[in-house]
Amino acid sequence: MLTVAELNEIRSRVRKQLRVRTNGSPVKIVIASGTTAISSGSRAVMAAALEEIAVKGLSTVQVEQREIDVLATEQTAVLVCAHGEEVLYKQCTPEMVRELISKAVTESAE
Amino acid sequence: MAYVRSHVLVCAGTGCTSSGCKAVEKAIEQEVSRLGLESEVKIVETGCFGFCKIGPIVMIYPEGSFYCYVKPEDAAELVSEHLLKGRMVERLLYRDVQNPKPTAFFTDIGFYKKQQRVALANCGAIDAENIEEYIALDGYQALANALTQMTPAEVIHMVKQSGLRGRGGGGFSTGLKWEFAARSPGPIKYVVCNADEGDPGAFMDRSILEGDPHAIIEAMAIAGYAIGASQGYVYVRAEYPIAVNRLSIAIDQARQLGILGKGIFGTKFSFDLSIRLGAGAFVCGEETALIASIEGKRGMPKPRPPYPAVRGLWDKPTLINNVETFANIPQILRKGAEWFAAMGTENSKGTKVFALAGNINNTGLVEVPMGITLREIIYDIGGGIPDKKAFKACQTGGPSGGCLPASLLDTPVDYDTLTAVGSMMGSGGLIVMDESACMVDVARFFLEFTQEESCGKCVPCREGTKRMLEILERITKGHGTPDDVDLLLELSATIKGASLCGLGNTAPNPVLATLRFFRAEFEAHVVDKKCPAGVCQALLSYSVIAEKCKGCTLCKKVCPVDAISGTLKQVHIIDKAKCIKCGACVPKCPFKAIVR
Repeated sequence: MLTVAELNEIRSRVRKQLRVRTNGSPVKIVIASGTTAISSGSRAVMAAALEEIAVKGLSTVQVEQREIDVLATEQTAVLVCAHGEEVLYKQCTPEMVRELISKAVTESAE
Repeated sequence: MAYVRSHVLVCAGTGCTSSGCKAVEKAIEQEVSRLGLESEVKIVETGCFGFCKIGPIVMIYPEGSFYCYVKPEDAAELVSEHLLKGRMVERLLYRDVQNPKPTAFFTDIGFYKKQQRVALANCGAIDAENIEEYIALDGYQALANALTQMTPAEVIHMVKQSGLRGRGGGGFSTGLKWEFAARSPGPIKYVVCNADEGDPGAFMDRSILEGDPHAIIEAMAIAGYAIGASQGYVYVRAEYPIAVNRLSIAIDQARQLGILGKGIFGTKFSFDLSIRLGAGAFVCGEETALIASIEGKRGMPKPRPPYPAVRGLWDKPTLINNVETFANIPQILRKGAEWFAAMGTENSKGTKVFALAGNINNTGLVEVPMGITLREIIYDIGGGIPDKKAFKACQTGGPSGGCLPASLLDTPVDYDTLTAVGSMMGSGGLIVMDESACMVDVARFFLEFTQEESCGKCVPCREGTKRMLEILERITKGHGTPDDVDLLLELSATIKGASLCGLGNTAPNPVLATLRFFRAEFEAHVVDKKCPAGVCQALLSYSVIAEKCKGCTLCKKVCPVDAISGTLKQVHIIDKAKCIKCGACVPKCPFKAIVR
């Protein structure tokens, strides 16, 4: 028999997963994903970002991908959107994106 | 747990299913797998998005990109461009009829802008076969709160205060209905959900059951607690296989979690649900006929009183509400009676779902606040009339309602105003007709429907509708007389006053409304023997305009009965005695020389 507490536990657990549909995350990480970005390794950056969020159970971050207009040599570009501001980072590596996520989440919690 | 960055929502309501959404979903799954995106992308099958005309619909989050008319062969581009490279596929984005520029986001589409979704809130937003997604959006919180924090009387009071009225057609106060059932003495009572949606073109209840079945389960359990019932039945048409399947899955899931069954949420309240399939008889939407059908008897109405709240299913007090009515209940309990009562008009609170059909650009399901005008629904949401034709009439209330003319387009849509102008709210069918519709033929169509669906129990309905239909057929065949119009009015009054149930009481409405607003068309049929809209074949006559005819012989070649004579470069002639009025010659003439 389900208790009210268990009902609430399901609600908060699944609600985190549905944040993708409600655009309700305070931190948004946009990873460049055009052809030049992919050839410069953006898929590895994406994989690292997703892993970081999953491992640390971060529920306040949303990852998106789209074309970011920078020079090919500046890929992989990553846009961090938080506190109403957008900061563009260029030549990001998987390690850098992990750091960016941690930093953005920490700052957003402050 | 892996983080999923994108959700692909594939509409899997009946409309999109019939236009091929399953194949689209499968193709997207294959592409996602081929590109190794399975752990990043989740594909979700949802209920109806409402915009059935442009299906199959696919929506991709977090962007909220709205793709329409998606085919399986579009899957490769959709996945590689949008999901891998983050580039929207412009050619699949929605384009408004008036504005060919693509609309990228769901929230910017005119069809949705003026809508206020309460009963349809979760339709198209969640996986209807996943109870956890329903719970995530506050599902079953209203039930938990009612059972642990409220008395049954407080629940009923809140429903009464909200001003919710029955959405199935009658418009009776839902709270009062609950109160009557609660006050009826007896240890055994029942809650019944009327999902026997039968109005031609109406599918709001089907969509709610397909897209948000748990809302109905939750509402019925709340109703059971409020009136003291421990068993409920959903009476649903067997022609709704997707709705029946999703409801069955939802009931099983609720049972497994202990939301249905004994001692719900650790309280002493027990409640369970069963599904009863109807065979599609329109009369079974009438509550006493529905009860008879659940009992295994032939679906025929009984005289009321006693009302079902006093003596209903198996002679026990029974509360019957329709699907859309129930769909409002969890939100009223969660957000408060005042929240609900703040929407709509003085006597018609909340929102109403309409099925837009007929000669309208945006066909589908819309939910609007009560009090919105017909013009706003038809033009702002429905996108107006196709092919630049003029609006002629709209039928509200299904076969029990009436046709309203263009002069009433600014009528606010609420229970009392629609009744006052000669139609009714009904369950929410809204059929739009353009200038090419013949109102006599429309009246005949609806009367043919009610006549066929009459159960035959009472004489006024069984015989009266038959006679009315005969008169209307006579008129459309050119054999009507002016006395026929008076006879229609006389018969209507008798049928309305003497029939046993709502089907008979309202059957003459389409005829009365068309006579009221389009009497000139009836007179043209019976006096001038003409059908102004050119629909009634027997009243049509084709002729050739000599000045325009070039004698090309194309019309002669296409005539199936050799009724057209003439030689090359000579004016042709139609033999009216031979002509069967099929109209095949009209579009063939390149010079527009043949007129009706």
